[in-house]
This record gives sequence, structure tokens and C-alpha cells, in this order.
Amino acid sequence: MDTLTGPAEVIQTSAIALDKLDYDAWLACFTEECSYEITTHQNEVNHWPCGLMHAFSKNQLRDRIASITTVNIYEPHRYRHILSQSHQSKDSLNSIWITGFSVYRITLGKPTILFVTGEYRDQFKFEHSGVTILSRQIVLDNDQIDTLLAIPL
Amino acid sequence: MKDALPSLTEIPYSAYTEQETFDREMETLFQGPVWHFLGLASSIQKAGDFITNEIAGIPVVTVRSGVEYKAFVNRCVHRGSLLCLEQKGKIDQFSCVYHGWTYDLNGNLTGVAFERGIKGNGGMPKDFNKSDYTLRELKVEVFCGVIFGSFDKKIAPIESYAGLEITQGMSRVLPKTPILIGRTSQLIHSNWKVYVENNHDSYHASILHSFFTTFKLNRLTQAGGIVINEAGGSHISFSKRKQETDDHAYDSEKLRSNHEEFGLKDPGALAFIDEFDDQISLQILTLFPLIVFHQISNSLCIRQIIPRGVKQVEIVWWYYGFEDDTDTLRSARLMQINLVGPAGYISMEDGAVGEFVQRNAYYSEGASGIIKMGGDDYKSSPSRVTEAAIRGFWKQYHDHMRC
Repeated sequence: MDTLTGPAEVIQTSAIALDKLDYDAWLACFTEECSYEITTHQNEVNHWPCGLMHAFSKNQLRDRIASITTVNIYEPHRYRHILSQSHQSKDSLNSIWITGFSVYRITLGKPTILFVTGEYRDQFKFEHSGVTILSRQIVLDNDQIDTLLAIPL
Repeated sequence: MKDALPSLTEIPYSAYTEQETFDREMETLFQGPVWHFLGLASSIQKAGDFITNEIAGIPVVTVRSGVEYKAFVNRCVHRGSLLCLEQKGKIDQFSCVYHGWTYDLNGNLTGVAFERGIKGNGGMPKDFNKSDYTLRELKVEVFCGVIFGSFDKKIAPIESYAGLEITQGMSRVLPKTPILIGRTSQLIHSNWKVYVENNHDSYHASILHSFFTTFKLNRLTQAGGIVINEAGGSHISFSKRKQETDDHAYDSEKLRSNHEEFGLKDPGALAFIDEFDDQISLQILTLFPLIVFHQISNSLCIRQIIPRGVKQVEIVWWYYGFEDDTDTLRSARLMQINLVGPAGYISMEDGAVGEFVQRNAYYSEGASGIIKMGGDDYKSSPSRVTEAAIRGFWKQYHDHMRC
């Protein structure tokens, strides 16, 4: 974690790790007691809690990775994240870092598609050993997923 | 000589690829005597509340007109524009944005902008009579808090359409008024019937879906069964919570889905609360042709199947709970989102496998899929090692398409 000097770097690192399918590097961006959620704008505005993916510990993220790398069946693919600059919201004690993103999905033999767009809302844990994600809420702009969402965003 | 009855055990792959077949399905099947999902009654509680939805791509609006539930094709009779653009809202009349024609909540045309013209010029002909025009209305029935609609005004009520056992299966997962707690959508690149067959296919569930089997959520060795209604196209597949029964059948088959070495670090997602007090932890219920009710542990969902042309189908996952859910139960429903839907450990694979079938359907040289597991009938069975419910779907499908 020595190389992760601040939240903006952690956000970048987490996206690059997924693009490289380097799940260990992705997991290293999160603290043990982290929460992680993927939902949609529509669920948010309707106050519907059930989105697409929910984890309330890093172990549950480890389980997601173990399942998609060991158990689940799907066509191999990878992502390309394009991130906006992050900004901090001012309306929270533990400030939230907001980063817009688009994610393209690359599948061998198929056209690359714009898979999802949305934003990360991240809160961080600051320790001497480094900065890690304490909470990541991902709100997708659209509610339709093409085929499946196996790999986290 | 009458045409031979279509086979229920061999389905030509062309059934998934022909535009002509799809066009006939749109006319004969989907707009015929079948029930469709429109929404939950809890979403439109007051007069004027409306929700929009689609039936096989046909826009529909459902509205509370006084105490009644009314549903119409969401289309102005004038030039065909959509009337309600939002997914939900409140209105005192329907009003078309295009030319301002208005309708009351019973679908009667009440206003035509500039009907008499301006200063004697223009306007509608003198013999134009607004009472000759109404929105296309659907027959509506509310069953256990779920609003169903049909284009066929003479369709049988839900209970007799589904039959006693399927009705009981729906009531079982709808013991109280359901409320929405989430919605998501999945676009699958296959013909809609490939996805429907998948839901009728109890044989695949614990083989394709390794996660299920690995964590012993659903094995064919667990107590359960298949219930198929008389018409054939609606069914229930259920299994009871894992007992310490014999797993040797899986071990000896050497199934890919049987990863004994894989264990969860945090199994919170799997905790099952026996909320219906009957030990049944999985119930997949289909209501012919385009509705699935699922109970997967404590995840309760109505899957609305929306055909999108010959080779695409959209699945809208309407997750529900109940007003009096305890925090523990609501939390279980939330965690079990990880099992179902487009990102679900279990359900994600159905999105992939349908496309695998569809890709091969185009150049199949007259070949057919084989649906012979468990025989050639479509009878209820205590065994889930059967494709009887798929045959039942095709039985009812052919009955409707031959009309």
C-alpha cells in the first residue's frame, strides 16, 4: 500500500486493477470492514434498497472474486474504465469522493460495448500504512445490464 | 387429414430464429388469452396514481380510476403518441403532449384541441363524435396485490387460468400485500422462448449453476418436485432446505458444479429464514407465458419477460418484500441480491447460456433440441430430473399458436 498516497490514487488503482483482471490488487484497495454496493439511479430515487451487488465486508468481496474465478460460467471478458476527476462532496462529516466513470466491456470476437456509466461514491480509511476504501457505493445511470455483471466495477 | 400435433420432445431450432413466428406470437399469443404482469397494487394506491410498463414491447399504462384498476395501451387514438411518459405519477386525466387530446381515467376521449376550429375555420368534421373513441383497454385482475392484464376480455380469471396448485404457489409467496424493494433489468441475447424454457428446466438448475450446488443450496437430491398445471405452460419447481441426504449422486457424476474445495469466507449471503414456515427454500413458479415468480431463499421477485424481437429478451427483476418485514428479513432479502439478478451468483449464468443456444440456432441444418429427460409427457413429478415442465410449456404454446 506504500504507493497509494491518497484517495485519488486509490480510485485510479482500483479501476486499473479490474481492467487488468488483477483481483488481488483490487482487493488491496479495500479495508477489511468495508462495504461495497452496486445499485442504479432508479433504485436510488425510489428508495429501493435492492440493487445489483452488496457486500458488507472485504471477505464478501473475496467471495465474489472466488466465485467468478472458480465457479461461475460466463464468456471471458474484461473492462476498460474511463474515470473523471474526483471531487469531494461537502455535505458529509467523512467526506465522500465522487468519481464519474464509463466502463467498456471487451469480449473476444465481439464488438466492444459501452457497458455501464455511473459514479463511485467513496469514503476512505486513513492509516499510517496507507489509504483504503471504507465504503464504495456505485450508482449506475441506467438500470439495464447487458447479459450479466460478474466482475465488480 | 389434420396436421400432426407438433412434437413436445424435439423442438426445431428454427423456432428461435424466425421473424414470421415472432410476428405471429405478437398477434396470437401475447395479445391472446394470456395474463401479463402490469405492476404491484401498492404502487398505485390513490385515485389518479399511474404506472407504465410494457407487454412484449407494447406500452401499457395502469391507473387507479376511483377504486378500480384500469389498464390501457399507452397510445393516443389520434396519432399514436405515448400518453404517459414517466414510469409513475399522478394524473386527473390522460393528456397527449402531441396535439392535446384528453381522456378520462376510464379511457374515454373527453377533449380534442381546437375541435371546432378557430373562428369557424378548421376543426374536426361535424360528424366527429368523441364518444366513438376510447383508449384500447385491457382486462385487469388484481391477485394477491399483483396487477395482471390481458388483451383478451374473455380470458378466465387468474385462479382458473393457473389452476389450483399454481394459484396456491403464488399465494404462498404473496401472503401479504407486496411492496417493491428493488428493480433491475437484464438484456439477454436470445429468443424469449430460450429464457422461458430455462425457467421451466429443473434439470439444469443445479448443474449449470455451480454456486447453488457447491453450497448445497439446491441439489437434485434434495426433497422437492415439479408441479405442472393442466394447460401445461405454468409450473412450480420447488425444493426444501438441504437435509443431510445422500450427496453421492453428485460425487459419482463428477459434475463441474460440485466444487467441494470452494468455501465462502463470509456466508452471510446464504442465511435462509423459513419465513413461510414450510422448509421450502426455493420455488420457481412460471405463469404462462411471460411471468416468473421466484423465491430463492428469502429473495422474492417477479421476473417480467419482455420479448425484444426474435433474438433478444429483456428480463425485468421486480424485487418485493412486505411492509412488516423485520430488519433481519429485509437484510436477508438485501444480501440475497448477490444470488439473483444480472449480477447474481446463481442467475448470471442464465444470461450467458441463452446466448450460447441462440448463436447455434441459426445454422442448425434442420436440427432440433432434445427434450426427453423424464419421458414425453408433461405431468407433475416428485423428481426434478425431468424436462416435463419444458414439454408443458410447448404444449400450451402450440395450443395458443394453433388458434
